[in-house]
Amino acid sequence: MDMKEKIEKEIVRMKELITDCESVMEEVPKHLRASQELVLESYKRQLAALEQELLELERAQLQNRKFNI
Amino acid sequence: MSHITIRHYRANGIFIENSSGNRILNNKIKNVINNGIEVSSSSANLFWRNEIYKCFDGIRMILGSTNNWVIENTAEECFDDGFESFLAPDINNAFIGNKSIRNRSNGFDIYGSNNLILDNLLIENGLGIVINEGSNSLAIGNIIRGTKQGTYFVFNGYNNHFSAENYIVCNRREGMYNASQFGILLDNEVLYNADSGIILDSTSRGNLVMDNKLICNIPENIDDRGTNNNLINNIDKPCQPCESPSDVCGYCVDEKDSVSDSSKEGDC
Repeated sequence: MDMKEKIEKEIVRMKELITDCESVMEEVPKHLRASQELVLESYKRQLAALEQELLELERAQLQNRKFNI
Repeated sequence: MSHITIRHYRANGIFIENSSGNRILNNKIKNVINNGIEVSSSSANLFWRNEIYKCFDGIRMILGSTNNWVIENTAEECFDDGFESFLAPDINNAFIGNKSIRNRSNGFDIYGSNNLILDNLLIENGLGIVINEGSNSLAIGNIIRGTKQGTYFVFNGYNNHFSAENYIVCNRREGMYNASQFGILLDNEVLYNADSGIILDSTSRGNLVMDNKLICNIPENIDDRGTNNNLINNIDKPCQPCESPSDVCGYCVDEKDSVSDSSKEGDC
């Protein structure tokens, strides 16, 4: 699997995980919610970092193509 | 952090983010929806003798995690990979003496440069070792057996991969598939694999394949489709009369590949 495909697949999985976590957040008892929200924020940071990696990879690939032309 | 049992969580079992110098020892992590241990943008952590069972990935390094030690852990029946170094920025990690057993995807999925895979045991994973994106990683002294879809891949574009003293036996596809450049395959034992012993892909170039022992891989022990690869002093023995990998290894070579259908194993 190439890097782009790998990152895209992971982004899709992370988005599903985040959506799933958000949907069950209301069922989490109040005294545990803070720590669960901490985890959710970590996941969102990780998703943002992966999206940034994907953007940079696509930019690099585009530049390579221009260079090869 | 040690001797904790973590079960049935929706997230990771243990999550380390932007942190270094942690010691994660002797924990048991079972049935978590995400990864057993996830290491994100973190360096110089030790993971020793953790047991991870039925998670997504067993232990994963991601987003620039470097110089971590992953030693004598077990990852078993995970949905994806046993041990993973996720992308090219995940470098200089050492995976030593671990067990990767019956994971659905890769036993070791190693992206990035200069990672070490030493003396690990890989049994009945979907795929064995995958090396991609970077250069200079090493795989030494690993045992790979019973892999279902592909045993040991080194992708095109990877330079200077060093593979030595690995024992690759009774896998259902080729023993080693090398599409890379300027690597070294030295003193490996590649025995009784279906679909050839060592395949050097058409993109492989300038590799040294030396002193390997290849016995009864079908149809061929070594298939060199590349350019300028040097094959030196390899022991190349065909099957004995009435001998085949399926006889020795106890599986049916002819049946269709089925990653999760273990009921068909050995059912000829």
